[in-house]
Formats: sequence, structure tokens, C-alpha cells
Amino acid sequence: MPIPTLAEKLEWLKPAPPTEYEQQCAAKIPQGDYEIGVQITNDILDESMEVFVRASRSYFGVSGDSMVAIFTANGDLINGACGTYLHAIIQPIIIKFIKKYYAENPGIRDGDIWYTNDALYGGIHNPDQVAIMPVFYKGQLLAWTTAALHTTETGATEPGGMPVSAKSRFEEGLNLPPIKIGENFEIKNDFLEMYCAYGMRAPAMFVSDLRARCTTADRARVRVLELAEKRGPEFVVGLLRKMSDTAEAGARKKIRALPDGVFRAITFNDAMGWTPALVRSCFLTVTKRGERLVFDFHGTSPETPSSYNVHPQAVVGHVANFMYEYMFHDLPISSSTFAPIDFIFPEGSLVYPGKTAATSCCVYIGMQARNATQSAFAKMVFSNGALWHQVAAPPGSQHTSQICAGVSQWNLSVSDVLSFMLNTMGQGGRAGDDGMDSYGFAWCAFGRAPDSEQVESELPITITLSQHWKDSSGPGLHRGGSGATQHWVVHKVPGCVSMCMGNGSKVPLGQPLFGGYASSPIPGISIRQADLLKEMAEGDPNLTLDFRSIVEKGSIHGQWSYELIARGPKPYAEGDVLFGFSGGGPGYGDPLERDPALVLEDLRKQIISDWTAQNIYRIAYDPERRKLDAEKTKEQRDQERRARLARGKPYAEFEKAWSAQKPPEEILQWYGSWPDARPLGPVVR
Amino acid sequence: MNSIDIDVGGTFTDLVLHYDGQTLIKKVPTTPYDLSVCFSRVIEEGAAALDKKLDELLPSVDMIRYSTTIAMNRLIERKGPRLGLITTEGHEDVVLIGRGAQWIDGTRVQERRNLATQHKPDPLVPRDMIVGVKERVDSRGVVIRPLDENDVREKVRCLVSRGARGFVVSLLWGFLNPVHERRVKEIIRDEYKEFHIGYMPVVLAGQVVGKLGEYERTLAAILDAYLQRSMQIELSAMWDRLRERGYKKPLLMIQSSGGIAEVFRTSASRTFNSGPVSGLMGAHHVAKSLGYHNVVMTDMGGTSFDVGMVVKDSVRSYDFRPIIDRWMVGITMIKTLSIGAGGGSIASVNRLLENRLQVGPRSAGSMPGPACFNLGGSEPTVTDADVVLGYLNPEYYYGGRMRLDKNRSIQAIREKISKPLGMSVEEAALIIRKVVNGNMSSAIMKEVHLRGYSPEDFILFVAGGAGPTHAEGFKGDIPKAVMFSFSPVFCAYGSSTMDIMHVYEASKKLTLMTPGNQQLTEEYSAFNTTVEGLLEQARRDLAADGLDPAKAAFVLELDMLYGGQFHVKRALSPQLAIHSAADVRAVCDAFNKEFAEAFSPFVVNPEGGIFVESFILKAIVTTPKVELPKLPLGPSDPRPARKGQRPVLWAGEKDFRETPIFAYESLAPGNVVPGPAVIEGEYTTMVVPPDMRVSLDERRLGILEK
Amino acid sequence: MSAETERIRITEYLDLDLRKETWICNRCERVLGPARENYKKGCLVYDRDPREIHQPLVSAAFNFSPDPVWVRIVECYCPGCGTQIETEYLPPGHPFTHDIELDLDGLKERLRKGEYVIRNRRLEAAE
Repeated sequence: MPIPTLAEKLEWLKPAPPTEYEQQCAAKIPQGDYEIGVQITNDILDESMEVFVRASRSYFGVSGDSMVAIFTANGDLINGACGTYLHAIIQPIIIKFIKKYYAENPGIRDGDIWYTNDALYGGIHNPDQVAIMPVFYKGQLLAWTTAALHTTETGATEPGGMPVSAKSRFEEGLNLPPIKIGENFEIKNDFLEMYCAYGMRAPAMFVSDLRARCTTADRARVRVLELAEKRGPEFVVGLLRKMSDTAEAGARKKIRALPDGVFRAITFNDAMGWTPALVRSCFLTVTKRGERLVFDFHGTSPETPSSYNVHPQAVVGHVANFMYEYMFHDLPISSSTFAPIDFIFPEGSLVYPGKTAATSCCVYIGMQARNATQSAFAKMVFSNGALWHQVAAPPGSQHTSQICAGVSQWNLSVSDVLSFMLNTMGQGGRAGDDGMDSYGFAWCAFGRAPDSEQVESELPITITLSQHWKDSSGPGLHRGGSGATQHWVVHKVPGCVSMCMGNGSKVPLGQPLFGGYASSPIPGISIRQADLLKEMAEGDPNLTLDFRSIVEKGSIHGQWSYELIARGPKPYAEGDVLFGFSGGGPGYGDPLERDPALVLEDLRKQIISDWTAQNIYRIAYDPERRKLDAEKTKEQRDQERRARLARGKPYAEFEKAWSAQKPPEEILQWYGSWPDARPLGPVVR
Repeated sequence: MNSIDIDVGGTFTDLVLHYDGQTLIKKVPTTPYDLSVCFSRVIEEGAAALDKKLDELLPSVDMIRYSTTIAMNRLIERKGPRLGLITTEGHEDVVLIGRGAQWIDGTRVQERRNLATQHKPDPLVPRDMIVGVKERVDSRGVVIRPLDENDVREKVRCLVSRGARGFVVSLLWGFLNPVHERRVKEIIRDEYKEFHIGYMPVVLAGQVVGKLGEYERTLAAILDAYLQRSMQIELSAMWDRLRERGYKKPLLMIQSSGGIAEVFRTSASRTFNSGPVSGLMGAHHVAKSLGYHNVVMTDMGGTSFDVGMVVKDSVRSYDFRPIIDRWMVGITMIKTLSIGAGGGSIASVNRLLENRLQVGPRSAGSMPGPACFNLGGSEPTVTDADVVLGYLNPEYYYGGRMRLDKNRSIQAIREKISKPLGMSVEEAALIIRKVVNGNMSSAIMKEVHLRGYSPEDFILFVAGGAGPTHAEGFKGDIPKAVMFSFSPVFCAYGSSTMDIMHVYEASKKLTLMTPGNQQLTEEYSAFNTTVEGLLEQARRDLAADGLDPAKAAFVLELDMLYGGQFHVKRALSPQLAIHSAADVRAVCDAFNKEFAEAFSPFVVNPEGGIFVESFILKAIVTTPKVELPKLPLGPSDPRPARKGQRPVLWAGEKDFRETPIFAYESLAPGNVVPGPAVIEGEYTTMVVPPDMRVSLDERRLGILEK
Repeated sequence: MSAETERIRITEYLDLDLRKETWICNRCERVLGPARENYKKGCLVYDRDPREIHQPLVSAAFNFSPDPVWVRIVECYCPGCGTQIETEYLPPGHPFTHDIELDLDGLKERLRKGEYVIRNRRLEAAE
């Protein structure tokens, strides 16, 4: 079995050196035509994305949490759409695998449709599926196009596509290594039937998304072909080569401008599946020398017999999300921008697990690699005069990823994610500004949350509350953006099955920056036999649908439970209430430096509580009229600074007492050795 | 029929006057401080050209139609009244959360990528002016929480005490079951009577938009409430001036749906973008009479470049969630694209991006305008580049009514562009022109591709004051560009070709084909009752407008989708009612066909079932139209129209070249003007580069081609 | 090199004095220690119970606060002005992160070669 090795994967991520033919083609492109050619690739991608959004069905698809990309004949990424960057950057592995192993049998021909969703072979995790098409011009392979999208179903042991309880890949449902699913521009019926058998929980969505991927890859293919017909194949080859070279030069220039040194960042996660467990989910050491960056993940906790492992290329994908949002935002999404970057993964760790590992929930670990990258880069970049304003704390990536499955009020089988919480996370505080409130999805900033009415019309749910989540964001000189919360009541059907993926109930996921605080953790909350619908129907004047008062006063009666955010599939009856949260962003800078006027504004916007204004930001004001007492504020803040000087201990003294501590053994079962997180024994699956 | 059509654009206000078989066009600068000033000024100019006073002209005019590109944008910037938003308790933050990535709305794709610099727009209604009231209707329209009237009264008073001067009521599912929204309005009216000085408008979102999606519906209602007062004041001022001078017929406003309605029965948000929509409707009409099936309609004015498409003789391509300014609204509009490129677009050097030259989207507008206007503008614009290169005649701009100062153009380009880039003023001017043309060309290509076509399948219509000056550059691979004598006032011309059309919508979910077994529905009454309801409403309204319902044509469109899909496609229904399996099949087939053409046959998925989401009925009463007269073709030699020569710098050439100048008004049908040449008209200038020519056809249309 | 051209802002609160090779508080000019060492060694440090910052909203095992048994907030203060220079969320006893280890010799060398210039206390790549 030619499963790609780590060495192969890392090699395939790098762009191939230019051939003489490519260089000749590139040299022939006149100035002006090049700029226009670049714009044409952007337009091809925009157009294909629009088709993708319209043709797909799962919430990820209609939200635009998807990706279309163009590759060279060799399989190097040249440009991608504004979407899930993490998909595009690693797809060269898949294309190069197909080229290496399948060129002879079954062969690569015009009209082929290839497909895969297997992380072992180069994907993110198996709900992320990609259609791949070669672009042939009169028999010459010119390029490849791909369309990738996350579908919330894989036919796994649990509904929703990300089985939390999976201990190995064998419990994850559909895992397709790269396979040819269509010839002569047509999907093969035998494949379609096999595929459908995995999508029985939500057949309409499953098949619509498959068709949408193929349609989209084909649309991009047709446009590239048109360009070849109009300008000649050499123009296309030359254009792709020149784009690759220009992007690489741009990336090198950016990296060169940063100071050399070693930068580190660490993150922790608090659960593996639905077992509370502390792991060091990322220990990142970035070494920067000249034009070269090396990412070394040694020190990350060992792999686990859970679904919270991540294959190395998926880590690179998550890192790419940060890079293209903050560092390389003005460069094309291309393999060559990663040419100056090398990766080192310790075998047997969370970020380089064995072949049989389950990785369906890999995104919770992968995101931490992205967050650690953002933290490390903040410290590398802040000194640069041109780039310092690109510095920000990581996004608030903890969120409720709740699956609703069963039979809807339309008598249709459904299994989909309640995607509002995914697409309303808070952005981390920024060097120049606060993070945006409910800015989007940490995995795809451009994704959109659905209207409540849209969800209610499709799913057996009524959303009784949809608000900013007060005090969710991390305080700071520039606070993190607020997260949001929703309450979902099972309604209009006798019941449904729900489960939840997620992380971050005990430990906030993103580290704050430069003296700010992190954002709030998210509990898993449900109320069974809730009296909410009854109280609403009776018009109880004392019932107030406000998140804080419901939680603090327990104003909905029923069987409340506060659990870990990740919960296994359980039946819920009509009237039961589930709570969803999207994390606020971590803060930037010392909260005592925050402009008091902005603190008052936060109060007006109901983003923070009076408690936070008084106890964290230490401002003095009349809470009724929200009028600032500037003098007293200064006094209180000075007092707090003096208190810090009084309670803070010199490093050596502090460290002595600190390093004698250790978390309780029972939460360290998957951490590895304390504190350096080395494997303690083999993982049995 | 005598008619007046006016389009208020960002820089100029245009008039088309059809009077006693004559057609006149006029143009005056837009007066942003009060649109009623330019509105009456342009009519006065039209009257003067007929040797009439306003009060002689107006009593014999049968119809005035009005469209605008800018009214909404301009008013959004102005401070609207302080509004209170009343929504369902628990959902107070809907418009602030903005479905997450609200910050991408109204920005261009490449502008979105840098997450470090993005911001959400400042809300039109701040959080402390939003209250949630205790009530709830569910997705079936069932009241699951009765309206707490005491709660409403208390919160309304609270909003008023915080300074509310108007209300928007937007409750969840309020469009499906309006009982609570209506009751809230009654309570407000009860508290603050209509005869009170502090009378406050109340806009019910369910009445503004009758379809699903609380974010988009609420925003449409907020915009309507926010703009109602100022648009009312503005339109009343126009109306009063017209009435004073003896106009007795209705003042009609073009809507973005392609409909036309009486101004005082139009909601503000539906007038957004009515200028470009009029232009597209005009293009549709002209294309039909010329026999063109596929047209790219372009309009390059001072501020923006608008693109619309006629595809297979149809303009039925819609935006279901268009963006107005930074706000996504649930109003269905005819699709047009607007990019920030026009004569007034400002050129600048981006030092961060390696001195890349950018043109637009910022515009100098009409005040202060391009540097050469000499009205205080110091930033170089596209018009300044055109002056420096010799394309525009400083003595004959705007028919000679506006003298351009070439030295100011040179100075602005030298200071802001050529010095930082280390090149000559002329080189810089050529690059400015190349970049703005490239931006427009690329915008056209994407629109063409999105419909699944290639440029060779299309003909390009060129409109707007700056259009003929730049068509050679932005036409790209489209073989022919057509320029009209009325190109500078094309949107106003467009509205003069529009029929009276009322558009009615009803949101109603129906299954036409069951998922799985693909059985056709046998339940016809829900479909037919819905359509009947719309027909009845249409007939009533037409009669109220003094039109004969029997003379109206009715067209039914359906917003449809396959089961397992999310985004609707609006398809033309072959019939108004269904009575048999064959009828249902015909409706489904029409949808399958339109869907496959719009996207791809890959995604046609009847196995998932076919559903209707909304019914759209259009009631159309045709109005007489002025057709373009055909003239006999004369000799090809254009020399009789030659009015002189001047040095012009052409792209790819090193030195200025003496270039013949022609007077557009003197050219005759049959004339062929070979490039290089410049053809000057009263309101526009056509540029013919060395490798192209312009021929005047029998309708005096200028055809630009290689 | 003048005093102004040998200072570089490394973080919001940390300046680097390149000549003296020291960390300096950006707000109060206090010298924190040698720049070849972790700047945290020059700070006052405090072990913060996270519940004091992230207020528990309910009395349950999962209550919107980080669990103090699992994680602590390590706060680093400037000993001069009390500014909170950095915070880390760490399990109790977990070693501090040596987050910034600049290659000072490399930096000086590249400045000398003119690859960078220092402007407004920040590095700019020479064109």
C-alpha cells in the first residue's frame, strides 16, 4: 500500500523546481498581460465559488466555508478562492499521489473526476471531501482544479461527520483514498450507489454536496481551458509559473524583513472525546533565519486513542489559515509561499499519529497549532515597521458544534450542524484595534451564520435566544471580539438526536497577547423537561429571555445539566433546551490601559458586565447614567498597579514555589510525561 | 405621448424628453445638497430647448419617470432620524451580529483578505435603541408566546425617552403571521397619536419584505424607516415644484425590481439602484428592436461603472440578498454590478504594495470633481488623464459649458503620480487610463462568465458620459461596441422605454415534486389560490391608478429549488394556474431548464424533489415607446464632419500624434471614421484608437470595432 | 548609533536596547534585564486564580470559569510601573514559555550591513 510517508507529504507540499519549458513560457508573457492573467485566475475562482455556494446543501457549503483552487500540471497550488485556505494548501499531496501511483493504472485522462476524503492520504479529516479534475488541452495536461467542502455526515458510528467517540479510523465511516469516481465528465453510477450508502442519514445533503464539488471543479477546469484556447497553452503554463515565482519572491521578502531568532508558543486542550483530559495540544518552536522558517512541534503531547489526533499535513493546513489571513494576505494562496517554510513533526505525537488513528475531530488540535502560530508570530512581527499592525491575538475558537439529527417537520431525514455558533466567533484583540465581535469562523473567516428563521424552517428546532454572549471576550487594552450564544428548543417533532463536538470547557483555547486575558470557557448546557415552551405559551410576564438572567437566576425550570462541551449522541424530547456558544476572542494588552470611554461603550453594547468594568478594567462610573468619574478611575487604576507590585514575586522566588506544583494525575492520563509531554507507552487501537 | 424621464446620477442629472414626436436629451450637474434643484433645472433646460417655459411644457406632459443611482447612498451617509428597533425578546443582537462576517458585505473580494484591518459597519440603530418584546411566532406561523402588551408599552416609552423619532418593528416570522407586528404598531399609535406633533413613523418589517430571513428583512425595514423622512421631504419638494408649474399627472419612480410605481407608494429601499436598472431595461428594449439577443450593458459615469446583462432576450437575473451600502437586504433586485470606476475616479500610488498604481474606488464626484474642473480638487482623476492625453477637449467639455484647466490636470498627475513613480506626466496618464480600463474589462468578463457565456457571444452597449471615451479600452474581447446619441443619458432613456409594472410577492412553500419517488403533486388549490390572491391585489391597484386591469398582462415567476438545496432560483412559470399533471410537469420542466442553464446540468437534482418558495406576479401595462428612426445610409467618407485636429498620445506610441477631430452631430449615417480619431459630442467624446474604426449605422448608432 | 536608533519595540510593552543588550519597559523605561535571557526573569510574577478574572456564573463543575485545578493565569508585571507585560494560561507547575529568543548578533550584523534600518523604534527592511 503506497500510503504517503511524512517525508513524501512534506516534499510534495513544496513546489517543484521550474522546468525549462515552464521558464520559456513564463519569459514570453509581456508586462500587462501578466497582471491581467492574474486577475483572470481570481475571477475564475470567484465565479466557481459562487457556483459552489449555490449548488451545495450542507451549512458549510451554503455559508461559503469551502474552497476552489487551481494547480499546475505538476500539482502545485497556484491560487485559491477566499474560503477555507486549509483545504487548498495541502491538496498538492493528493494530486502528486495520484500522479505517482495512478498514472499507469487506472490512468489520468481528460474527463476524469477524482475524489478523496482520507486524511491519511493528504486530507484534513474525512468530512472534508474534495473533487479533483485534470485540465487537458489537446492531450497536454496543463493544470488541475479542485473543489473542497465539509459535509456534516460520513456514515460514521455517530451522526454529523465528526464522531467524537471514534478510537480508530475504522469507526469514522467513509474514508476514501484518492479514487477515480468519474470518466468522460460523468460520475460513475456504481460509485454513486456505494457513496450514497454512506450518506443514508441525510441522503439529499450528501449527494447534493458531491455533485456541487464535481460541478465546481469542472467549472474552474472549463475556464482554465478557455484561457488556453484563447491565449495558447504556453500562456497558461507560463502564467502559472510566473505566479508561482512572484508569490515565492513576495513570501521570502516578507520573511526576510523579520528579525532572526527563536519564538515559542504553547496551547492546552482539556478533553479527548468526551473524557476530560489535559494535553499540551501544541508546543511550537519557530526558528527564523534569513528567509527561512522552521516550525518544530516537539513537545506536543503524544497521540491518543481518541479522534482528537491530527495528521501532519492538516496541521500545515491550519497554519496556512493564519498565514493567509494575517501575514500573506496580499499574496496568492499558493504552494510557493510556503516554499521557505519547513516543518518538523515528532512521530507518535498528537500532530503525527499512527496510520490507524482516528482524526475526525482533528480540527480541535489543528486549530491550536494555528493559534500557537499566531502567538509566536506576534512576537516575531511586532518589531517590524511595515507589519506590526498585522499582530493580533488568536480567534475565540472554542464553540458548540451541535448536531441535530432525526426526522424533520418536513418528514425528511436530517443530520446537520447548527452552524450559527461556528460562524460567530470573536476575533482576537489586535495591535491597532479591538477584535471584531462575532467576526466569523476561525476555519474560514468569510463564512456566514444562518438566519434563525432559516434554521427553524428546515430543522425541528425553535431558537428562543440569539445574542452576543456578555463577558465572553478576553479583556485587554484592545479586547477580544465578543462571542455569541443561542438557545435551541426541540420543537415541532416528538424528539431528535443530538450530539456535540468541541473543546474548551475547562481551559480557554487561545492564549491572550501582551498582558491581556483569554476568553471564557464554554460549558455544555442542556435543560431536559424544561418548562420554557409552557411558560412562553402562558405568557409568564416574569420570564425574560436574556442569557445572563436565565443562567444566573435559573429562570427556566427543568433538569439542568452542566457538562463537558463534547457530548455523545442522546435523544432529546420536544421542549428540551440546548445551549450553544461561540467563543470570544482573547484580549490584547493590559486591561488597565483600556480607554474608559470604550469600556462604557462596551457596557452600552452589552458586550461586558458591570462586574467586568469595575473589577477588570477598574473604571469608576455611575452605573445608572453610565457617566465616567475620570479622577476616581485613575486613582483605582493606580491603586491596582500598586497592588500588583505588592503581590508580584521576583521570578526566582516565584518559580521555586510554582515548579513544585503539578496538576492531579487523573487529568494527565493522556498528557504524556510531566511536564515535557513525552510518550509514556504505545497507543493500542 | 409626451413624457419626461430623469435619472439622477452621482455626477450628472440626465433628462430624456419625448415631446410632440421630438426627442431631446439634457444634462446638468447633480446638486447633492438638494436633488430637487437639479431635478427642476434639467427640466427647465429641456423646456428652453423647445422654446417653452416650464409652465407651458408641464401641463401637456403625460408622465414623469424618475430613477436614481445615488439617492440611497447619499442619504445613508446623512444622519437619519434616531430610530428604535423593536424585535422579539432574545433576538436583540441580530443586526449587530450580522450573520457573522457582516464586514464582508459591500467590500470587494480582494479587500477582504487582510483580517487585521477589517471592521463591521457602525449600526444605523445602536444597541441601546434596540428592545426585545415578549412574544413569539414559530416557523408554522403559530403563536407560541402571546404578545405581552404591558411589556411593549414599557419598552416603547423607554425608546422614546432615549430619543426615538421613529420605529421599526421586526418580529421573528412576522411576515408569516403579522398579528404581533400589527398589534405593536397599534400600541405605539395608541401611545403617540397620529395628530401629535411628535408623530413617529412605524415600519413593520413583515410588510417591507414578505420572506424568510430576519437579518435581511430587518435591515430592509431599518433602511426604509431611516430614509423615509428625508426621501419624503426630497420627493415632496420635487412634486411641489412640478404641481406649481401645472403638472397634473403622476410622478413615477423606477424600482430595482424593474417595476414602476407612484412615488408616494414606493418604499425607500426599493428605489435603490433604480438608475442602472432603468439603463438595463432600456438596453433590453433597444436590443429587441435591433435584434441582439445577448448584450452587456455598461454605464460609465463620473463615479461608478455599472454593468448589466441581457441574456437570451431576458433580464430576469436577480439578486435575492443584495447589499445596499454595507447592508444586506431581503429585497429582490434585478442584478447589476457596480464598481468604483468613472471619470472622477481618483488615481493614487500605493507605497505599501510596491508603488502599485490604483485607480478608484474613491471618486472626486462633481464637487470638487477632477483637478481640471478647477473647483478645488487637487487629486488626479481619470478625466485629468484624458485631458492630458488629448482625448478630451478642454474647450468643449460638456458642450463648452465647462472649461477644463489642463494645467491643473498636469500639476495633479505630476505631484501625486509621476513624481513618486519616476516617470513623465504623459506616461503616468497612459497608465491611469490602462488601469481603469483593465478594471472595467475584468468586471465585464466575470459577469459574462458567471452566466456561462464567453464575450464573443455578446454585443457591448456603451452608456454614460465617460463610456464612449473609454469603450475601446474596456470592451475587451467583445467584438462590437455600440454607442448611442443618447449614450450620455441612457438610464433616463431606459426608463422612457419601461412599461408600467407592478410586482407582487407571496412567500409560500409548496411541494411540486415529492423527493425520492418523484411524484407530481395533485394538490393544485394552494398554488392557484396564492396566484389568485396576487391577481386580485394587482387588479385592485391598477384600477386605483386609473389603469384598465383588462389591458394588463400578467406574468408569474416562481422562486424554486430542489430538495437538498438552499438557494432559490427564480424561474418563469409557463402558466398562471395548474390543473393537471401536465401543467405541473411544465412548471417543473421550465425550472429544470433555467436551472441547468444558470449553473450546470451536473446540479439538476429532481431526485431531491422540487419545491416552490415564493410566488412573484408581475402586472404589466404597456406604454407607447418611441422607436429609433431609420435613416438612409450615405457615403462612408466622414470628412464633412471633421472639425479640426489636435495632438493625441495613443497607447503604445512614443509621441503625440496629430489626430483628426470630428463633430458627432455632423456625422451622417453610413460614415466610417477610421482611427486614430476623436469624435466630440455635446455630452460625450468617442475615442477611436489607431487600430479601430467607428461606423454610423442607419439609426445613427456608432459601432466601434477593429 | 544614537540612543533613538538603537531601541526597538519588540512587543507592546517590551523594548530592546540593542547596544546595552537589555530589555526595557516601554511604559516606564525600567531596565528589566539582559536581552539574551527570558524577559520574564526581570518581571514580578503572580499566580492568579482564573476565577478572579473569568467570573463563575453558576455553582457547577462547568461554570464559565477556567478550572483553577487545570489552569492558572501567570501574570508578569513590570517591577517599575506595574504594567501587565504578559500573561500565560498554564497548568499549575508548567514551565514558563521562553517565547522570545532574539538572535542579537544576527540583528546587529544585518543592521550593520544595512539590510534593516530602525525608524520610529521599529525595524524596516532596506529597499
